[in-house]
Amino acid sequence: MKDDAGGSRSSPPDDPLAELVERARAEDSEAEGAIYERMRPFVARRLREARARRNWFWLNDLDDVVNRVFAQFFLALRAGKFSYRDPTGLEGFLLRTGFFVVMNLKDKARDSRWLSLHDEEEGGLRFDVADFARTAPEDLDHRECLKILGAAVAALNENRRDVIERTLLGQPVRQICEETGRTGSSVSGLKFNALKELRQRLVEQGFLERCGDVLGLQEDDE
Amino acid sequence: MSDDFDPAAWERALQRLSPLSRELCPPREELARDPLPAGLRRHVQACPGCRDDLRDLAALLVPDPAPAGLVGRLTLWIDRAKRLVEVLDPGGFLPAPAPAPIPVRGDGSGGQGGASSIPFGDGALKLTYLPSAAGLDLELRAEGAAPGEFRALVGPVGEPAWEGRTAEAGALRIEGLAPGTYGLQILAPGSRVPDVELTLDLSDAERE
Repeated sequence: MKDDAGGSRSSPPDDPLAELVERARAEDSEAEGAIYERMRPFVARRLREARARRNWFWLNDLDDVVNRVFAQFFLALRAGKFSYRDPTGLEGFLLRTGFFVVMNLKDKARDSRWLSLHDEEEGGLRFDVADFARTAPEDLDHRECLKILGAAVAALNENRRDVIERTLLGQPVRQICEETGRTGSSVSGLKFNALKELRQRLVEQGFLERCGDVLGLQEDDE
Repeated sequence: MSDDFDPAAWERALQRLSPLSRELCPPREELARDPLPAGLRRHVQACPGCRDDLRDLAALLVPDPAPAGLVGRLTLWIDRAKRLVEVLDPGGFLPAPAPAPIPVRGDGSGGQGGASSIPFGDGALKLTYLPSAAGLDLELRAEGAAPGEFRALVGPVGEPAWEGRTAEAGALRIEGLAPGTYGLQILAPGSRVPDVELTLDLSDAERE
């Protein structure tokens, strides 16, 4: 993470934060403490607000997150990844640091999170696994395998595809039942049959030979 | 092909395609760059996980807006978050035609407001400007056979941005705008392509 402040700009000479930041860069613990005391309320308030607005139910210990933010900030400062420009720039950098800390916690809460199939804020935009697979990074070794897999999902009939895509978004069966009006056995049946159909189609195309190893799909082909 | 079908193995393989696994997603450092690299925009558009992350980032960067009417609800207070919102907006993914400034003014009758109309769909979009105690109010109203439902994105460079949808059939009012130059995009609900994209010159001074 690099600060995007312009190097040619400088802070006003009477800006006490500028001096504190420079001292903290030199590992002056007193300056670090002063920055922490001064900026902590701001960071904590923004994290608290964002937690409420975005329903970060997995963020339980706000104080711990705040402390991690400052710990990472001071590491970044010493590593030359932040150049002080003005208080607003410092606030922005701290908030971005907070974003990375929060995202790490979000990833750890994956099992209890799920995403909507339709993004109402984007005008009902639907998650399309084939479209998503086509955006795989160029340098990903098994990019083509994932694209083939995504295309195979897209070729399923609508009901099977719907259940598979909801599953990929982390929706548990009860959530799929709630959103689709199906019974649990219906959802489970659709998922099983979808996986079986995928396997049948892809195996016939030699998918296991090409992609079985990288995707953990070794089968006895005898 | 053997019959020892293992659905769990296939589900595990499919999970590599889950946005929650982030296997296809850029590092968050890339995602948080300002502006978002052009090469990532298509991915973000296709990835509900990354869009969710960007909304988390925007929630951190944008303080809670003051609850003061439409503008208060829709105002985003910092330029960085404005650009993020533009990235999330589907209209931002397509190259914009060169905007032509449209003076939303009357005929020099300062303080009384005025209006302009531009083609919109099979009808027209009437832009009415009215000075108010809070600043300048801008009303967008579909006329004739123009689409009755639309979204509007308004944002001056370096200032707050607003997004609104038609609250009543064919009309949207944005209140309390400061005088200045604004970019305006009009999009149909769910559309990624702006139907109208132009620059507005909202001025409270007499026009020559």
